[in-house]
Amino acid sequence: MIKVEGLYHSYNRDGDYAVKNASFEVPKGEVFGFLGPSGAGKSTTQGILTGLLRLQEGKVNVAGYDVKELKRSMFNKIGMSFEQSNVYSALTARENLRFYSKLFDVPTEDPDTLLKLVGLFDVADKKAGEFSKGMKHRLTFARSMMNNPELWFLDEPTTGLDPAIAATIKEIVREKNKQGVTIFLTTHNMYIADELCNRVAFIVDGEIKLIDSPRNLKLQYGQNLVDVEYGDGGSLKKETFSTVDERDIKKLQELIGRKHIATMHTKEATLEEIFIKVTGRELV
Amino acid sequence: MKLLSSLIKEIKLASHSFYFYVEIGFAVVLLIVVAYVVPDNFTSPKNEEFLYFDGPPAAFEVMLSDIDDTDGAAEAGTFKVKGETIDTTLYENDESKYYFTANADDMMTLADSKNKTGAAIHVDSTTFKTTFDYYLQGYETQRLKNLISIFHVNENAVLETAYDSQEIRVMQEVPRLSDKINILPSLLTFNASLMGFFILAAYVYLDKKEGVIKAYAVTPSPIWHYLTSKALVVMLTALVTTLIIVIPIVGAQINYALLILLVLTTGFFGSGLGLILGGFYDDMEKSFGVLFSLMIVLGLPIIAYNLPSWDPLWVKFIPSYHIVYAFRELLVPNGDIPYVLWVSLAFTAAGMLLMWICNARYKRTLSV
Repeated sequence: MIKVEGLYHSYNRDGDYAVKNASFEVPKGEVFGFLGPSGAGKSTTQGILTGLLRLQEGKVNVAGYDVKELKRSMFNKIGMSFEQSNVYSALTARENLRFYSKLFDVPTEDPDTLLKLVGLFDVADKKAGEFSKGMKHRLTFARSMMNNPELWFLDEPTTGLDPAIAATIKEIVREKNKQGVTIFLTTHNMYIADELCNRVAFIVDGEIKLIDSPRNLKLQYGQNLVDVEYGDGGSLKKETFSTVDERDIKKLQELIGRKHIATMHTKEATLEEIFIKVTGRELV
Repeated sequence: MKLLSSLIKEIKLASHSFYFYVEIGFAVVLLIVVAYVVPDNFTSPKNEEFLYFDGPPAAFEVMLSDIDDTDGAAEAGTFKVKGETIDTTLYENDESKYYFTANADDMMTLADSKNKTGAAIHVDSTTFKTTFDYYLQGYETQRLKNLISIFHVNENAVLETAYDSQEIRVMQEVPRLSDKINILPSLLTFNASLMGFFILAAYVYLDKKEGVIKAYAVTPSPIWHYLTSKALVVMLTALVTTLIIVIPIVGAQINYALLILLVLTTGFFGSGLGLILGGFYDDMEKSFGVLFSLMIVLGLPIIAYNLPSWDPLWVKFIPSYHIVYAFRELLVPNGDIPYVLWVSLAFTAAGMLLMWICNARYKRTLSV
């Protein structure tokens, strides 16, 4: 669904690249996470893929369209949910969606259905300017589904949302993916990437450092550890043991036999820890 | 369908926007001013002259016959200057008021207090030779001083004969509008055509601020739909505000078909300028310098129109010059219709060129 080869982009065309030699492919039906800290080149790459930025160097094919020779009909196939809410403040939620529904050449969703989906139906006739930040974000998210996109670009889809709404958004993303929608998720939130993505790409300073599935990354970079809390002479103690080190295994077995175990958890490395390990950078 | 949808959206947005009501409100204020404040014809105040006459009564009688007082009677009066009372005798005709004082000092005091030129006229009682002492304020131009110096090189009678024998040929009969109607071309140019340019730039900046322009960029709708819908709503507003002013003031004495054509075509050009500005800057603050300069340049022909003595050739190259004069031709009886049509055509072509430039510019910059 997306094929990128040797992508470079320089805002001032001065050799100072925001994206350097990026190459990747996203097959149909995949949820692909594009992860990196602010200024890493995520938005630039996404901007090029969605035609918002002009392709300078490299080959980019999106939903069967060569981005170099961008055709407006490409936008019938893609949806884009922006990080910054961008809706008409002077129009109601319903008017916002109704207006956008008329800009496509393909059958579109009913605005009310989308508003129900994101929990805004009750305020459908309220002006978007009177919405909270989270409500505007949900309206922007709903709008991106208007044309039932085959390829869905999501830029920080849960940022600034309360946990319950964020869970709803994630559920919608999963459901759309089940229906066969390919999703390109841009985020610096490793937890949402871990939850939703089939594969992730780590991008730092415009360069893609690695691409793999979260599971493989955890297996490759994670440590096999167990956190144990146990009672010892009236107090609660905590220790971490390796599940591969012979001495640690023996100590753990002894502990289980002699002490009262309060809690015991296997400890996997988080994507964030792996990101730091691989790139040497934090996700700020 | 997409264009219609965009246009309906723009009309809704405009009807919710502050700028729309500013335009309508401004048109209503202009209407009130033109209808109730501007007279049909302005009357200029009479010129005031402060004079002291020193000569025989017979010579004074000759002077009075030249003045040709309206009611043929002198009017006694007084002026209070710095606590001092100065007696005057007033003679008045259609153009001027002549205040005669009892002595030269009073004349100078009065002229000084009123910031006017005064004169002492001396006539020799035997030879009847006349001499003039002018009392100037000091800021008069050298040209005026030269004129005063040479004005009395000949006898009055000689000068009068020469003046009367001047041949005046009218090269072109220019139809005259009443002052009330004559003010309309300036107002319509500013309100309908130039205001649109400012308002449209403001609309684009609002879209940029809300980020909706990005959302539009990821739809299949072409950029020119976005631009055209914006221009159409501004042209429509221009038409409404023009009619608010013109219908009550001019009534049926104008060709409305041509007026609508002119407003729409010049509004189209103004919209193109506004879109260009919106395409190069992100907000009003950043564009203010260019916007303000452009408003001044485009406003210069309006000044030239109202000051016929200042009409340099280069002003004619500023597009708004032809907008003002095209509106004037619509308002004068038997106006130059081909000129109005030519202006409409030219501004349509110029507007299309601007839209073409905007289309290319916005394609590159509409988004990120």
